[in-house]
Amino acid sequence: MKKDTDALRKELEKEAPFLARLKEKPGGMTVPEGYFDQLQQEVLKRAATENQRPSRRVFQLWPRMAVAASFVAAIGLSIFLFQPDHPAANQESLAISAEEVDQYISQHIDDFDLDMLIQYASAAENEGGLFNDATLDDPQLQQYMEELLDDIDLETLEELL
Amino acid sequence: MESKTTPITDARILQLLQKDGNQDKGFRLLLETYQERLYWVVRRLVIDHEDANDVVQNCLIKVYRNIHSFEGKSQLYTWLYRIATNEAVTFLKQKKRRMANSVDDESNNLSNKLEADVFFDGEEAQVKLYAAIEILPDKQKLVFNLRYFEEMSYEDMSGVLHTSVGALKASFHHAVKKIENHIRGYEAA
Repeated sequence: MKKDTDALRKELEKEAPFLARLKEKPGGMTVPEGYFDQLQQEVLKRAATENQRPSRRVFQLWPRMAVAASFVAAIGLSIFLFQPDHPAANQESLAISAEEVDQYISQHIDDFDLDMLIQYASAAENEGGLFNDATLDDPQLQQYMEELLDDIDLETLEELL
Repeated sequence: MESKTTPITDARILQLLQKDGNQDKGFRLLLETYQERLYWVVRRLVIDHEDANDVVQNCLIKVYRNIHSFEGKSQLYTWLYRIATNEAVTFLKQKKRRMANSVDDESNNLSNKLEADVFFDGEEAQVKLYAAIEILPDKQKLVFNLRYFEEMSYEDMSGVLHTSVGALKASFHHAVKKIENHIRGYEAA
């Protein structure tokens, strides 16, 4: 990667001289002495452990998906009731906002259909995606799903269902 | 600061990683070439050294697990930066969920934290800068940091963030103005 130093300097001098001057000043964040050597050793150690660990397959998560299926059905029913021609559509008590759906999903993340999210992730991600191999552990999936759910709106959810 | 990464280094890393028996050597070369740069990208986003250490280690382990799936459709550094920035932004989102404070409180907290941080020796102006960056939305913070600190070109950033060059320029411009206004407000108070 070639640094774009000259163009950035010109851009800052024009738009924000204060930031241009500040950039020239030394100091700021530091790291403990020898940190990067330690980091490399630590990562290599963890990588060696990875090699010894038996891979965990996504299908091991199926028991959780059984619970998730009931959740998806519940959301599906809610969306069905949203249909304008459905008699229940005009009942105020059944109205659910996108925020409420989002909140519900966040609170029930452990019960959500992992397979569906993985499919969604695979479609959205390019080669940088972390779902290209099926050896992810639960914390990884949990973390990635939380990120994905931030971006899923009601329309996308409807499409997935 | 001149980049020590070159297409030749990347090609060598990939060659080693793809050859049976040389994967560890390839990964070691990848770490030597990129770990420090990835650490600083992450550190400037998450601020705290211990947090950055955790995030960058997780990032590098993900790289190790998934390097065989890298198909070379993009540059290696683009792929690595994408993983590092995703990991850092995910960490920030989780941290935000855990915190009930407002954005202003986060900014003030950060100022106090930096002033007490043994791994920060910057001047007051730099504290103000980091506090101002803290108020930006995650994506805008990412754009600002990659441009200002990493001096990444908009074209390279477009590859990392999957966003058009025009949108990135606009995002950086808005970020700069927000930071400037925040610092002025801070000085006026």
